[in-house]
Amino acid sequence: MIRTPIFIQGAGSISPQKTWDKKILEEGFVAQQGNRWPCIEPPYSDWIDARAIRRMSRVLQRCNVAAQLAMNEATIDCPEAIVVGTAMGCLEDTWSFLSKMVQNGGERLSPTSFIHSTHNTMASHLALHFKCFGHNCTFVHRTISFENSLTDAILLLEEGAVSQVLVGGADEVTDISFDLLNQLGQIKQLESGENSPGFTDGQPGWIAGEGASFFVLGNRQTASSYARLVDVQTGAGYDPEEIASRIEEQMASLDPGKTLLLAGHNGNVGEDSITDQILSQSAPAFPVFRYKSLCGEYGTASGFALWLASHVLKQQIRPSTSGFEPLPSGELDHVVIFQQSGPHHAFIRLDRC
Amino acid sequence: MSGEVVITGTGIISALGLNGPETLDAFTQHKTGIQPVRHLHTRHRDDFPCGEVKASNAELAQLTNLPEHLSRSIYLSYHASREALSSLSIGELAGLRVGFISASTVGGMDRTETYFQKALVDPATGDVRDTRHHDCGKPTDYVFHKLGLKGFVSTISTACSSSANAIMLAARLLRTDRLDVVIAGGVDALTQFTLNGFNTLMIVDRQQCEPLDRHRRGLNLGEGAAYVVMMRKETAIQLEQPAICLLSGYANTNDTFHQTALSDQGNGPFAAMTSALNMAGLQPGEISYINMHGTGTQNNDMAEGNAIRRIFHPVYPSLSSTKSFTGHTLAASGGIEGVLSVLAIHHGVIYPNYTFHEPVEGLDIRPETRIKTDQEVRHVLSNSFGFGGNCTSLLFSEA
Repeated sequence: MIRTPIFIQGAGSISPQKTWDKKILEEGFVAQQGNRWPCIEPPYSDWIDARAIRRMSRVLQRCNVAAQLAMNEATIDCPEAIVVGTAMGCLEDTWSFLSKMVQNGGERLSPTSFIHSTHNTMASHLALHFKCFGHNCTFVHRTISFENSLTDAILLLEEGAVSQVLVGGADEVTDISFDLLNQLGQIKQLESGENSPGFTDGQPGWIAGEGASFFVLGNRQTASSYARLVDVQTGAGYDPEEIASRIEEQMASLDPGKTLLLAGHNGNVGEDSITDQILSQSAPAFPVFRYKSLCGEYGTASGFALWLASHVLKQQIRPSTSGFEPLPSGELDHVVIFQQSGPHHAFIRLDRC
Repeated sequence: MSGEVVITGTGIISALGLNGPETLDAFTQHKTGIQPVRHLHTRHRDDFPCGEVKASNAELAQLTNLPEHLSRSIYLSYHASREALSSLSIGELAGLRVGFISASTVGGMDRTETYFQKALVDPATGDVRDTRHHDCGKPTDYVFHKLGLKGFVSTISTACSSSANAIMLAARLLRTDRLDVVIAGGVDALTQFTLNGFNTLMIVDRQQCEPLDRHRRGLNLGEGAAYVVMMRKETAIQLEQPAICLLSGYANTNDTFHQTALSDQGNGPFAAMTSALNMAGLQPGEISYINMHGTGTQNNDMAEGNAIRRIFHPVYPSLSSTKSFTGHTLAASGGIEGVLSVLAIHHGVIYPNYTFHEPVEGLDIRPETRIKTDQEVRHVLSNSFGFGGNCTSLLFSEA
């Protein structure tokens, strides 16, 4: 229920796929290995001044370049507002400060990692870097952090406060966080060197991914526009039947032959069976692609899904686990991104423009 | 749809007390909450007095009827949000689109610290499940569920302006008719992480802080939670909830100067206050009281003071920082000071800044030093400025 036309004018992503390079559209996706999929990093020094890079953590570098990719496509030098979602924040600096604090008993600590550990470091770094004095916000609500950020950006455009806004989502997996998730039994157990299983191995656990995806949303359709953002909804506390009826309502007006559903299955058999239950009730006729089979599981993986959806609609191509394929027939008019996790579900709809 | 957003309920827990009446009493008696640390386990216990909530986790668990060994943020958040909702039953909210928007900078960091302290010494010890409390959204989700809510939930983290942004987002979701009732505010518990972190920046005062004073030495950290219940005016009428006041203006800007410091002239604060005034259609002379961010650091008080001078000089409204009472409660501060602003309008009080003696060099800003009661408080500006240049001003007006 967005009340004003909103277009994705630019998109940039750093992810476990080579999403920062447009050649990915022809060359396709890499087959992942193991249970932790790190980002394929771009040559950051092509994008950021060498002195500045040394002062930036890896997640800030990713945010910076993903934002630049999106802003270059939208041909803007400075966004009017910046909104970022991050489920876990700047983990590398958080663990660094925490470990030193515990080991040194609070003595001889350097402020740098504390300063960089705060969740709003990403959005404020971007504000400083691009000299953006406007609205600046950071959402940190678990798996819906990115969708919350989109909602804030949509409100800004609806209110007429801005004509364009930079919005993104970023999370990093670090050695310590991966180890903790592993100990908590959340990560898929694989033999060393074993290829990553398909997302249908029927086993518990998921694969840790990470990434930073940024977008310029604007109130005008431009030559670079990927798609029109039609709806973003989140909900918490609903049972699967209620979620299914909410999604069914959204899907009712869409033609399954002209719609692709990007679903947030993460390969964890227990969680995926709930997603399957919801989709079999609410959208049985719609073709489904599991976007986390490309980027792994992380709090703001739906940012990767929006990058994927943008290219699918603009290029009129269909994703597979190996790459993009031209559409076999007809045109694709809609992409819906659906994910549910714990008490949350989220729904994003894009239309071809 | 009038679009006017009203506040119908408040909840607050801080070093000053467990609820609204206790908080107001503390101000009336000029009784600060800044005291030696009792509950936080830290080596700095004797170094830095803090605005600690005067209850242990076990006492908070009992008070809230929640299980023990949750993160302290959960207890504080649940306690304050229940007070805010005390005049409404969940049954009355049936059929309405309800939201809960909280704010946090540390989430359940206290539980993560517990784990690390054991596991870094001996990896075989420590319960890794403690780390499941770590993220900022966890306390929000827990409280949302415990309050029996269903619908929209979110958590904002913009350092010290976090809960002001939660209140602002709530107003925008109400004005665009996306939600009908929102509980908005924020929470932060004291943690070793933040105390040590602020200490590395050398901006923590070893005595009670003296905001807005020429000889200020830094800030006291505090903790707490505060929430307001917000709805459109017509929803309040429909639910028979008396409006305590309006949220008449708000603005979020970025100072874009430095990761941990504001520009000397306070450009971000100036823009936030100016935009909030413009939105409400108010002239500076119409403001009754400014609850300043006033942390007591050299940088904040200079920057904020300059921004206020640029807008209000030569005739200033009553103003004060309440942080020499509560300490700087970080993500909770916008909520705590928002609730104090609402109570100022409701009860006609202006809070004192009683550790003030001499104005900041070059500024003619003199805060109130004694509590003023029986005042006509019509419009209150509440400032929250944070690391990363995040600046938010809220404007509360009589209903």
